[in-house]
Amino acid sequence: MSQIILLSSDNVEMKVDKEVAERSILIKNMLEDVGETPDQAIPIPNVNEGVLRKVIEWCEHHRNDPPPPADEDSDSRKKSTDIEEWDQKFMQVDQEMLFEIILAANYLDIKPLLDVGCKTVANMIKGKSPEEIRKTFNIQNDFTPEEEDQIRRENEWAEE
Amino acid sequence: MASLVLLSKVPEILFQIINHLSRKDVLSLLQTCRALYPACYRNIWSSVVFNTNTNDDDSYKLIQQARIIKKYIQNATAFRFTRTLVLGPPVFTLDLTDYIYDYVLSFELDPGSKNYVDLPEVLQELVESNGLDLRRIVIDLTDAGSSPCLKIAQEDLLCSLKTYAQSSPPGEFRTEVYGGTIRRLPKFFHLESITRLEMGVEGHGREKWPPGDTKYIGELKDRIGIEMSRLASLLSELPNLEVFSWRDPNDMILTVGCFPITMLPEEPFSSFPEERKKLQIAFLGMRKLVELKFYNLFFDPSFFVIPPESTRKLVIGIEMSDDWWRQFAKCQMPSIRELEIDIVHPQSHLHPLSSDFTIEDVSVTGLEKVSVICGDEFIPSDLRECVAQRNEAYLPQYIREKARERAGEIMKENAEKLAEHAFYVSRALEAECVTKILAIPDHEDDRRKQEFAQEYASVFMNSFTGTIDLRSFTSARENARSLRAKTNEYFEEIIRRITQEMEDTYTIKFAHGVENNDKCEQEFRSQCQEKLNRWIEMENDASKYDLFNARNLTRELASISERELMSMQGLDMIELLERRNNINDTAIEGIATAIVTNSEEDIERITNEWAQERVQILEYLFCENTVFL
Repeated sequence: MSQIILLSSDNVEMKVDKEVAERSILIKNMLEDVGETPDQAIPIPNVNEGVLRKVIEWCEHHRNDPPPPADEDSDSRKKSTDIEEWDQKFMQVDQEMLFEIILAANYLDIKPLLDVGCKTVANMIKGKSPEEIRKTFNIQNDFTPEEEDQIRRENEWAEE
Repeated sequence: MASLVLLSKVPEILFQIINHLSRKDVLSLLQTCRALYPACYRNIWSSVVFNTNTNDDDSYKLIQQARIIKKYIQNATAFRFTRTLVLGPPVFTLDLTDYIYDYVLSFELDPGSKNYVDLPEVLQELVESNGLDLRRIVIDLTDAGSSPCLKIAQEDLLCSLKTYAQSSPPGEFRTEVYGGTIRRLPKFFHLESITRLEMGVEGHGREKWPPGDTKYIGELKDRIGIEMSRLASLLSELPNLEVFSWRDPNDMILTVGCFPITMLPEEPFSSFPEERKKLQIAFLGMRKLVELKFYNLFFDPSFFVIPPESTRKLVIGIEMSDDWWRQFAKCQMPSIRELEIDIVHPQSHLHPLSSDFTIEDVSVTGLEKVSVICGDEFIPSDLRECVAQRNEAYLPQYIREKARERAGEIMKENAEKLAEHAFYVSRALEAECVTKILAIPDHEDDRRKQEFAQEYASVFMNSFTGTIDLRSFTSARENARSLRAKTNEYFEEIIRRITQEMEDTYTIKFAHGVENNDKCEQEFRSQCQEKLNRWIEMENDASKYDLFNARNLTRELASISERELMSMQGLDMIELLERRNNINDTAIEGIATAIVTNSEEDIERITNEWAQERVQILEYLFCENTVFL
């Protein structure tokens, strides 16, 4: 099986099966444009070594997944946040890594990984009060008390 | 450093996260900080929903909402993001002007307001303002269905929405209607834009039918035919309809459309062959219809509609007779992937399915899923099997269902075993503890009692962590029984001795005849008791004392564990926990898979794992309670 080399933002080279790397639509399109398997390393400027290794680990595990179904009705809210067990374990990382993985998945165009990442974050938000969310994600409250009050009043009716 | 706040710089990711959240969660997130506010705000306002079941208490809240909307129309920022508008009971059912109290209150709270703000009026203003870019409106008239006419403001709102729909680019705008009636639709809706129609039968339970319409007043028996014809011509005007449902909004048992069942002529539905033909042709012409649902008894149980070619899901909630199933058996329906049999009420007495009816074979070949919500007794007994034979895609579901049945039985057996296990353990421990307490000097001391309780708990838990071995528990039970019998024997012997002593005195008394037999007997009993107590209190007889206390203590402790395990009847508790932890389903699913793959080993492993989990929960429960002894 042919392999390609990926170059992380901190200049670390990683050898990967072409099939695995092609879980990334960005890399897949790039390889298709080039036409043949390149000898030189493909630079991934936005992703450092640690994150890239995690992303490759995910792609290795999901190398044989069937392609995701065509875009469903984008209007309907996708409320389901079920995550399969392996992915759940995979996502048990510190918050910085979690967001780095999400950003990398977005940049590399790996939709299923991006989806798992977003679901993980959504699960961390679910059922929490604004204060609890701030605590979880270390967010500074930069609203004035008056603003807070107004926001609450204005959006209150939107509650189901 | 990457963080949630930093993600606000990549809105598409933030939107995707938000899309997984409920409205309430988005509202919480919106309040956290400035960076996350815009995306959440946009999401909140992407759909404006008035669809909660409203009661009188909410009327003030609705007036407030109407005010906020009015305010927002003036600065028109929020509604720029609104793509979906859902208007339900708060808009079409509740008439706020009736609530004088709120009306007065609204002045008191906001003296500056000159006018009472009515929700339909404000919404009409919103729809007619220029800032709106809707893609979808959902109108729910379900609760308004039985009222003969809408209020003027409500009608005006619907007309505005119709005009809005007409001016929207075709194909980009969808109207979904719940609870519409045949007559109302053309007047208030842009038919071409309707993609979903869940319709009611008009004039339910009313003498005049249709209300306010003199043209069709005729014999009761003709009305069904008229409604069928009207539906047939309406369907031809709905070229974009994707989901159609026809259901009596009220009870399905006692009335059919506007007819109480008792008033129905003998063959009410089969007498309109022409209309039925028209209706069938109309259905076949629906090019985009993917979901077809029939719910009420409006149709004869033998009226089988051949679904159009595009239909993938067929839902039947009407009674189906032998004839219906015969026609189903003959019909190929190549596009149908899912068949759902909804609630079929057995009390309609129209033409129910014969109990011994079998379908024998089916022609349908593309089915992937069959759901029977009403219970298998309402479908031919061999239906699933026949469908499985002809429809490869359904086969896995069929096997799975069969396997689940078997798995359910296995789990039940296992749960019984576990309850039995808990019973033996508590009995065995009672015996063991009597012995243990006897070995502890000064055990009446509180501290010793505490230590003992802990020891008891640990023995209890050790008994549970082993594998389930019923033989060992059977022998433990035997031990417990014999020990208990011995203890009882010992006490009985003492009581017998005391009683005998007393009897000698009282025999004479009884023999001479006493005035008051009851009084004498009472005296006899109390003296026996006194003597027994004295005997117990004799401190020099340590073994008697110990035995008695040990027994009491053990009983006390055992009763605590039993309260958990037995008085809640063990099984109930397990079930309760299962429901909470949802373990049972996982296990059943696991066993079902094992059965499908024919692996006895797997079944055993999974049932054991399941039992272990239950055991751990019991331990946990017991542990929690022991700490407070």
